[in-house]
Amino acid sequence: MHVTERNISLIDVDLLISECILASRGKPAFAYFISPFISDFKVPVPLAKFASNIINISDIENFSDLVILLVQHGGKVYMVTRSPLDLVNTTISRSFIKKQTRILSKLYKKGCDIRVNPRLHAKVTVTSQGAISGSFNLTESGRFFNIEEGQFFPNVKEFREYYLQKLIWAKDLFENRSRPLIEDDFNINEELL
Amino acid sequence: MNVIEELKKYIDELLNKIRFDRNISIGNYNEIMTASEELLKALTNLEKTRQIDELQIKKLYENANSLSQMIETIKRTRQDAKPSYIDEFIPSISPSPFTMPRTLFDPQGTEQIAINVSGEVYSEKAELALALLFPGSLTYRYGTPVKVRCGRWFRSCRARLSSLHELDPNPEFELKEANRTLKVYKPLTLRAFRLLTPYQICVECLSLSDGDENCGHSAPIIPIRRLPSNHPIIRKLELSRIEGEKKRVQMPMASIIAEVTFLPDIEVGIALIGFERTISVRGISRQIRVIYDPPIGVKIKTAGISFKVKISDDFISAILDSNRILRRDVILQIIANELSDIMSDVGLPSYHHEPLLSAIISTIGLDEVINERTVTSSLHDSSFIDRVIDALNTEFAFREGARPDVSLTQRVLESLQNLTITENELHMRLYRTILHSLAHVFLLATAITSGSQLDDIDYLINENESEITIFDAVSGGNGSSKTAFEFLSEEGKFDVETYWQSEEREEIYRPKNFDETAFELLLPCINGIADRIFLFGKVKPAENEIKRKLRELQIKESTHQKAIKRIIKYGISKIFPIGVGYHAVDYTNDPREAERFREMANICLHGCPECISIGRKCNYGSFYEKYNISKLALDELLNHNIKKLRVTSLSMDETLKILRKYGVAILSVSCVDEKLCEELLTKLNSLSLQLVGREMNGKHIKLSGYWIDTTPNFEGIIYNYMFQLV
Repeated sequence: MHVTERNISLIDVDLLISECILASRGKPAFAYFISPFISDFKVPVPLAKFASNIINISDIENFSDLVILLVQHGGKVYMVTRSPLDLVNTTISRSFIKKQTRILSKLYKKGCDIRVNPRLHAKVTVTSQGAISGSFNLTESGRFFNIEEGQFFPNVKEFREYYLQKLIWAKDLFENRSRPLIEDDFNINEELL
Repeated sequence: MNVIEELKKYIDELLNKIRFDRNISIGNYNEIMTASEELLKALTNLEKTRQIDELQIKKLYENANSLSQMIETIKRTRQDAKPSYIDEFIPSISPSPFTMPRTLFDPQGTEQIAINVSGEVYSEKAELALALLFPGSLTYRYGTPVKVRCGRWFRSCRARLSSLHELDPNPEFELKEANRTLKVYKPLTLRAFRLLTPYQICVECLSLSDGDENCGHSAPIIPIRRLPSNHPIIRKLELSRIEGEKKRVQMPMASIIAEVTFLPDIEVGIALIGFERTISVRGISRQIRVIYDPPIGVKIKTAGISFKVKISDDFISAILDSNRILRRDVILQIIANELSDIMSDVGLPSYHHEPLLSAIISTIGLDEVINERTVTSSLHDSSFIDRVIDALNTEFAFREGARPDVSLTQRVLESLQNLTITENELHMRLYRTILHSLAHVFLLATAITSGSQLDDIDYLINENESEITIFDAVSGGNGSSKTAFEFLSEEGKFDVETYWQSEEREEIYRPKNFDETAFELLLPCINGIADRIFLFGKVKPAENEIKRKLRELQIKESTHQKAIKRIIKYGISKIFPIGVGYHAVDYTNDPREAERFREMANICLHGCPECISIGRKCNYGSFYEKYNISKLALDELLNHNIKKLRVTSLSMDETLKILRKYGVAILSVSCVDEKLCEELLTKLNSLSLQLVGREMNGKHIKLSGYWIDTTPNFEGIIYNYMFQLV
């Protein structure tokens, strides 16, 4: 399915909610987030709007809340991004590096498995329910402000081949081509900024 | 010497000269004297005014200073990223008389009532006095425990207040209660006294031996360490209203709510008709209900929100025809309510209601699913009264305390024999129960949306108009209903471009909307689902929340094995009647076993504290609440009203068709065989994945709900996925 900036955030949120439903049923649930830049952003109310008597997403305000909700339900969250330490030596704005440090630190403490790769440019999200790949960074701009384009492959018969390609690629990137994030990655020297 | 005194002295000197001047005519002399008197008077006034002015100017200066401080506070608070409403705004912007409390510990409201504690007089806000300091209540508000007098009431459970307290001689308003018109009087002074230890209570009528209530029962009077808890029984009445803005809600709630109107000005009469007292005596919780004669109350002007709801006659008729269990439960509710009215008229204490009702159920055979004609003929049977009294004797094998007065019981039962249950009455009762249950849902949803406590808001029901009104329970209002009205989902909802262009980001990040909260509360009760699955289900869902509740029940199974076996034997159809009293207990003379059975039998079918039960906040009080609400009927209403949105065929085309038409579609699959559940859920997931994110009518499809329910026979599970266009 064609994905643009108009429906990317909606698919993102729904994929994570579907993962939470699966996790609440005791099924294996996971999410790979691959994006060089990651920052937290507010989930507009109509997207977080969800009625349920089984899983409660009433308090969801930010995207990170949804990710944490998945972890709390027993889902696994794998993330590949760029280390804040690498970003210090680039032209990326200082305030954004601080944002990236903040969100990574938050998710790391909540039990997300985070790895880093300095050459990362790809942007992919894979869950057990589907895969999205395209130009979107996992940031507020990437989800709402920029003009973006990509594809969504739900994990159904017709798209399973493409879905599995993305999943295997994401798994390989995470396991074999990235190093684990360590506490030192958060120690950004304020003077360098 | 100041200028005024100099002027006065000068005038005096002039007057002396004039008196001795022969050239001045009598006429001129009189005119000069009158003018000078006025001049002197004016000078005296000027002198006084100057003194006053100095004070006034000082006061005005202080006021201006405080206003400027207020403005500064508001300016500063607006700059703050997260202003605190309570700390920053309220003290600055809530002038008298419509004041918000300055702190969380201050009461709200404008009317005052004096509380005279043996000569020490305290002035309290009327709302607080009626909520906490009603006759019969006990409070620690003034240090040592204080009891508000209510006099002796042990025989009839009627407290006569006019001789004990100072009431306004003119009634505040009139109230209709159980076919009678009652005059409600405003209390001016409520008299109270300090309670002395040891605290003692009668196990029969729960009267305290405090020199005020002392009853004359022969039942034992026992010492108590904890004072009993008391709750007022409140009736509310709308006296006048001014209607404001109207709104329509979005689907799926639009299938239940036709229209919402904000009421900026509504006058409500709040009457206290009595109180309920609860205490645990010898490990068993006991409750009594005392009625005031006359009722006391006040009028408040406040804000509210009115909901016109859709409960069609066709639905009521259809549900009465198709759901025989619900039909029988409605018959039981009619008898329970009629019995309480008759007992109140005859003067039989309300703590006899449950044993009497239990005996009636056992006599009529209401445990079985029977129709109203059988019930009416059983009631009219000549042996009915004797059989109920026999059953009552068995009932009391499990109860402590005196049995009800035989002659009064007979009068109650004779009156009850006049009851004829018709189709029309069943129809009316079910309609009333559904409307009342919906009022509980809206009250809870308002509290959740606005962040208020249940005590901050209240509800009124207009049966003729199918209208439920939620109002702020304090004169002047407290903003709860206004907040709920503002947070109703509006059309348009989500559009990335709008989001991007929006300057006021706060408008987008709103708290949960009222209609969303109400819809969540209308979904099947998870507690009830777990109970039904545990007792009668053939499919065990894998959802963690259900599994957790099932584990709790399994732990109970070790101690309640006999009770559980007996309930399973009775079946779901008997769950409501067997939960009343001890008639369904296999009378083993073991009171603890009987209690275990009752505990297990009270599963959530018509409501529990986790769904729509609100206890003492209910208009009927916690005592009679269960005979006036029904979650099962609400589930039926929800299923009926969202029927047109349901797709049960797992068909993509059908789902898209309904989405195109209504903007909402609900994919539902029933699962009665655990082996097939996995496959069905996989298909459901697969279909939902193909729908998510698709463009339709310029909007996108979004997964907006997931809930589970039990099948009508309670053996299987229904999985529901809701999709919406946003």
